[in-house]
Amino acid sequence: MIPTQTIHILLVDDDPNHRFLIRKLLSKNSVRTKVTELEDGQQALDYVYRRGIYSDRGKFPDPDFILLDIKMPGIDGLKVLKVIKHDEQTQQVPVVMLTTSTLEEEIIQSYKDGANAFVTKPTSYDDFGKTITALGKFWVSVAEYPPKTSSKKAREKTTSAL
Amino acid sequence: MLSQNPKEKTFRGLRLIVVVGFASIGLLISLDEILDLAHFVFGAPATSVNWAETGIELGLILLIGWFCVHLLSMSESRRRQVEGALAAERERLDVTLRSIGDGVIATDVEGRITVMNQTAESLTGWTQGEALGKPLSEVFHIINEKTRKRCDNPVEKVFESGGIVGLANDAVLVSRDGTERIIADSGAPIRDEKGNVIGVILVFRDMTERVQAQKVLQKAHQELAARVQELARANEEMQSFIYSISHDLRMPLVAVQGFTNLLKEEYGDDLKGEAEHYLSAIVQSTGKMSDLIEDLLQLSRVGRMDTEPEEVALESLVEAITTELKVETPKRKLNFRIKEPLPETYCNRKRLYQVFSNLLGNAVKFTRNMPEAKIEVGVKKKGDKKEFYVQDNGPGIDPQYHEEVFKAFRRLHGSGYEGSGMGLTFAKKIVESWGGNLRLESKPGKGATFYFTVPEAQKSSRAKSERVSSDSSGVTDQVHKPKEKT
Repeated sequence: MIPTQTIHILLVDDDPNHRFLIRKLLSKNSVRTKVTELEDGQQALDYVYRRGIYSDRGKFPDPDFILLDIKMPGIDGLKVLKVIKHDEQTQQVPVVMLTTSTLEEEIIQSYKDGANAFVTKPTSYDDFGKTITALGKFWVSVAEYPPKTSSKKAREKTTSAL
Repeated sequence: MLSQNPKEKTFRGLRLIVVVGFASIGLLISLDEILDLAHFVFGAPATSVNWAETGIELGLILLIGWFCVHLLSMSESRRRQVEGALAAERERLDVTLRSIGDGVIATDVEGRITVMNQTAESLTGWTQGEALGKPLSEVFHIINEKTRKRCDNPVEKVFESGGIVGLANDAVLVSRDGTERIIADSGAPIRDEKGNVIGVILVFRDMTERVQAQKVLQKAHQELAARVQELARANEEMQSFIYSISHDLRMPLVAVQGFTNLLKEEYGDDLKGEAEHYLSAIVQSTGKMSDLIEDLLQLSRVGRMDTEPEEVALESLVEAITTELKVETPKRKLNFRIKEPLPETYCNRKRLYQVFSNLLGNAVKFTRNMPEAKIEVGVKKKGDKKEFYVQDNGPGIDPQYHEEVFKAFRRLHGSGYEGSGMGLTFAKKIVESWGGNLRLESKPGKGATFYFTVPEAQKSSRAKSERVSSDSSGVTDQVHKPKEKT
């Protein structure tokens, strides 16, 4: 079943070309998506925890799932993943890790830290498109989310852990 | 040597008997009788002479005198015997001392030398004759190797401790001619029967060669440790470099190929002439480069992060690969044959798949000019081990290139044969990571046979493997399937 509602995807990748290609691919599949692009891990955490310019949820809604690049300057994808998945208030958000490498350590570490999926960015445009589409369908139409909650206390606790 | 000898005691006993004998004469003869005897001998007036009594007494005197003389002569003979025994014992002692490889010096309580052996003479540069009676510190001159200061007198140290003492480390013996030798030595007190210290004995040996050898060895160890550290650092750097290659170099490739596809898809109709062909060439080349990077990455990771070994049904594994190869090359006539039932193997499945996949892929590749490729997989016994083999009926390889085929990026044939030239290198590295060997037997025109061994099964790790296998996450399989073939 193809979901009818719009899926909100948080796309975190420091490479603008990759962001462009992923957005383009997502726009081509049968799932309606809204993509919010972020450039690094710090922005991702600020968004998830509604800090700074992302404090307005009317303007910046909670994501349905996060596409998170592993290797980024500053706070990298693995650190962001760890924070999100170790916080009771955010751990239910599906996170799909993106990378261009196939390092097994990264894959293992990603799953240890609670990643819901791991996607190697392939050089094959078609394959990558299919994978992203399948993921979108899976997490929106198959997976069931718990009710969205937010806790200021939990957010502060997680922020201080960084 | 310095203690009282038992034979000497006997000699003293005999002398005591002689003295006692003379004392007895004194007791037997009264002063008056001596006077009477004197009057009789020298004609002086005498009151009366009892000839019978005097005769008896005179006889007794003579008898006792004879007995004393006899005793004296016996004691002299005994003394000579004792002296002979003493000389023999001293000779034995000298021989013993001479035969000791270590230097030995004995002193009296004042630290004056009483004995030294030949080794001690050689090491100190003094002869025993010259050294006897001299203070030890004059003959046995030792200094600290580092500080060059004189070491404590060993005799004093022995007297202070009252027992056996090891002398200072780094002690250097300076001989009479100035030659310096590193020595190891110890000193012990010499005690008499009552336990009183009556001297000191020093035993020492030349350690120069051994210490120097130890220093050389120590230096070699340090150099080796530094080298190992250097290699570990280089290895880390290499890992970091490979990480960069795998990630950073692939990033632009993803973009190049992605945008090229977009260009084809969105503006394909507007392209003229050979533009579409050019775009395909770009996609093909970037794909090739991506494969090369992936191969390099896989090669570097053999033996690292490998999962535990498990039971592998080889026949089904080989069949899966041959089926895949047939699908990939539908126009080829491929005749795969498993010569005999392959045994179950206890191994890392993924790595074993990669080995067979590379060897079978290699066989398919190099039989492309044959009307029918005949590729055989089997197992042979070699000693107490099993050797698997993959044999083809290809053109074969001259023995002079047998080593070359296993080198990375080395391709013996032209660009007509696809591949990065890493497949056999990768297979060999995997087999070697198990402690096995991958080898080639081939002659031009006779095909090629690759042989390799797999590790022996270990029961203890088998149970662990089963546990690991059952813990595998299904999520991983849904999304990420590691590339099994290079």
